[in-house]
Amino acid sequence: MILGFSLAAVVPLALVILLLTDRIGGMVRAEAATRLGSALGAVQSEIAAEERRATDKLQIVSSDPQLKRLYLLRSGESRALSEYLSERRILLDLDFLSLSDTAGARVADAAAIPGPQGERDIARPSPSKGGRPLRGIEIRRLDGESGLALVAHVPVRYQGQIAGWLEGGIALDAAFLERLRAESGIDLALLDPGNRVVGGTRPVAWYPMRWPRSPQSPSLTPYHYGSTYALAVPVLVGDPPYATIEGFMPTASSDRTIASLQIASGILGLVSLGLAILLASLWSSQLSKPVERLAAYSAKVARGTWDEPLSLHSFRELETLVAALDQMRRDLQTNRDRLIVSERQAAWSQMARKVAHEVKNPLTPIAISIADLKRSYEQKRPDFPEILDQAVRTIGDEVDTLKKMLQEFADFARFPPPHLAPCRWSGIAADLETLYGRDVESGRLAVAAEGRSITFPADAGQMRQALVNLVQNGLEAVGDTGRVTVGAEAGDSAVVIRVADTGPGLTPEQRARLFAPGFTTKGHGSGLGLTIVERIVIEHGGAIAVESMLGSGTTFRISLPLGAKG
Amino acid sequence: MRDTVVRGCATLVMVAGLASSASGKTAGHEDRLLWARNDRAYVALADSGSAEEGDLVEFRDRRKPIASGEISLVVRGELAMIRVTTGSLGKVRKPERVQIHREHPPLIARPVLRIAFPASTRANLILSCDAVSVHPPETAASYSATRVDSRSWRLLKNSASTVPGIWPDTLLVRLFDDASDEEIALERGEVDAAVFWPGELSSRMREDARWKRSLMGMRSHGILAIVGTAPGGPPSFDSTSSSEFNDALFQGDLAPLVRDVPSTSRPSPGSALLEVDPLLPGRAAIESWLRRRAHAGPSRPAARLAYLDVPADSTGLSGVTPLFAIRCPVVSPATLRRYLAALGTDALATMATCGKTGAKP
Repeated sequence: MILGFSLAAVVPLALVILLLTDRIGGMVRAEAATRLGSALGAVQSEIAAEERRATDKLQIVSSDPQLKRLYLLRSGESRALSEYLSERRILLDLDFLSLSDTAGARVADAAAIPGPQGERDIARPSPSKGGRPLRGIEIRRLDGESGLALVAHVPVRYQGQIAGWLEGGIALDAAFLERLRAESGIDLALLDPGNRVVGGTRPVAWYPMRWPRSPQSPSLTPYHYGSTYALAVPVLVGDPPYATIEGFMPTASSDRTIASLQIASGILGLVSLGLAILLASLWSSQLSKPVERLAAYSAKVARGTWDEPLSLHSFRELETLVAALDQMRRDLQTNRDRLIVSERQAAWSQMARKVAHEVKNPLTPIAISIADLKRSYEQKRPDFPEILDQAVRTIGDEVDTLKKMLQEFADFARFPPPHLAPCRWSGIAADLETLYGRDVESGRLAVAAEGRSITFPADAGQMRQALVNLVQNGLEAVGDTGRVTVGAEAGDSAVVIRVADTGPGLTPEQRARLFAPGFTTKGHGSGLGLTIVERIVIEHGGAIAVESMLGSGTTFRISLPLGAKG
Repeated sequence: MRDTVVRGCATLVMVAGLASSASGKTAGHEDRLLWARNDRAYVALADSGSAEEGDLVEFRDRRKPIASGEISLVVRGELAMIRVTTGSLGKVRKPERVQIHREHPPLIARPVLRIAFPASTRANLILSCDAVSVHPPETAASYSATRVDSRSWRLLKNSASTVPGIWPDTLLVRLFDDASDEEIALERGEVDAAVFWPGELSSRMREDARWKRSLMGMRSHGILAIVGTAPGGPPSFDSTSSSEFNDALFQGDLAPLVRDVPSTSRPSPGSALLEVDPLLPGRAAIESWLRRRAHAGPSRPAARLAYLDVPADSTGLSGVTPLFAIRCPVVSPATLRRYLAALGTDALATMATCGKTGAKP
């Protein structure tokens, strides 16, 4: 339960942390997308500006009379024109420069100039495509590898008509991309229309062989590749297929930060869970121990041990409960004392009424006998001697009854406390079999053979008297056809002695008043038998219970503790 | 390729001829046969610049004609390559003894003459034309002009024309937006003659032996003059300043109208501050040149340098000191120069007029 509560406390926290980290991750990526968008916008602007610059440079060349003269007045070889283009290419800082006629046939080309990286070799396609001059970025062969080049075409006009096409531009090589990267602050990759990486600000091997998306999408499409956040931007103008410039903004650092945050959150959650368990344990111990003591105390109170006061220090609500319970204990004790006194008074009153009734009953025959004697004597009845004899016997019997009854009351009044000693059930059972030998032989009484070895602390005499009372009541209830069974069995802490009969049973009202002094279902007797039985059992620290249903017999169960009294 | 070989051979022959001349074997100021093979002959020209492609040449040995031909190429005005059309020089053992008689062929009217003019978009320092129109030359008024397109005119000589002479039957005029295009068209042979604004012809053309002897044509109208009166008389250029002005801004194309004024007797641009007419398209360049030449002088301009659309030979205009007439280079192949000169380059230069100009010519 403690763990459950702790989890219930930590799980929302963990969820909040997860949502928070996810939110942070989303914000980081949104920020990266924004930065990428703006950076790639700058890249596009730079490319457009570079294209304009290339166009402007070509415009300068195309309007140079020397070019026109070399081109339009050439005869045969165009070496001078090629040399001119080479010179202009270097002066204008172009990577390639060539001149083609209106049919697309290349007339002259800037000679390859060895540079720090060696000789550049840029294969150039026809400057016209479908009769329309190309413009923009094209796929070219660059240094033997597939690359991209930014190409500009400018017409060479003669007498207002296009006499040729000047083509030039720059290679979108690593240096160019590095410059864009320095200006935009993002890594870039060049993809050909087949989605193959042909260059970038990182080594080509760093990029995936195939890009995980189609670059033909005209919209900005952010996506992840590993720990890299990328935004694709088609930068080409002209006809498809488009090449693409991809912008990269690695989010590895932020991802690591988020992962660290998640790990820290997990550790914090575990620590919180541990603390929650610890605190919950402490709290529950503080709460449960008083409750357990309270429960034990309540059990004591339920058992009738009301003399021991409860001293418990706990939180305020529980102390209030403890105070109320102790107050209840004191009230119960007071009421019990009062009840004892009241019961004692009631018992004595009932006893007095019973004594008076029992004394009154014999006195009536005695009085009648005496009145018959007086009347017979005064009438001088001839059978006076017989009447006298009868009266004397009656009076004598009634006097014996009175003496016997008074002896019982005297015995009940001076009932001694039990002297507990190890008592073997076999001994008590043997006494019962001896005492009721004829009933055992007739089958009306059966003493079970099981449990004969049980030994329990008891006053053997009182216990024998209690069992005799119960057996006697049972035998009287079952008549000649019934059967009384006596047995004992040992439990963990008590021995249970059972006396069952097959008599007519008791009504609920009878069962409620069964142990009250003077109660009897028989036409004779003092009604003290079961009262004495109950008193003996209670004096032994045990308990007596009765199970009876009308027509199903009655069973008494006497539980006696196997330990010391108390 | 062929031209290159020919020029190479010509150079070798010329070097040999020059070496021979240096050795004292040449005889007087006469053309001299250097070398002949098959139908070609190479001749060292005694009079630089007199020979033109197309000239007729007759070779004589001991006053006896042995061959004749036509100059097909003149190299740097010193060497002529002659295509032998009759006779043969194969049996000549001593070329130095061959006498060469050279004469220009008779001028005949060409059926077509293609002439290039600057279009209205061509900027120059003096004129600013919104539209250029072409008129028949004044000396050949019997032409009827037809505009072919925005840049071309066709001028057909009327059949009833009574004007005799060598004027071609058809004049095809084409306007060029770009001077270099015009030069290229000339070099490509797309036009026979090209008229350029003063100072417009490229240095390359001016220095090229094929074109360096270009003709000049003075327009009948329009002068560059100083307008206004300053204390002590109207300011003007002295001869030196005028020449410097013309050379610096117009490559010497303008025709100076200033008489030879001693530099100490008349104020120079430095002594009398000139204001340049704002209507002149080249005002900024002219002012820049004047400022570079100016010294300390009056703070207020004493006169204005302006273009006046008046006859070039106008004289006696009050308050006006004519400086330059508008003279345009008329460039053509050497073979046509004599023909064009005969036609009159001034008439050719005046054919194109500005319909509406900023300078109000």
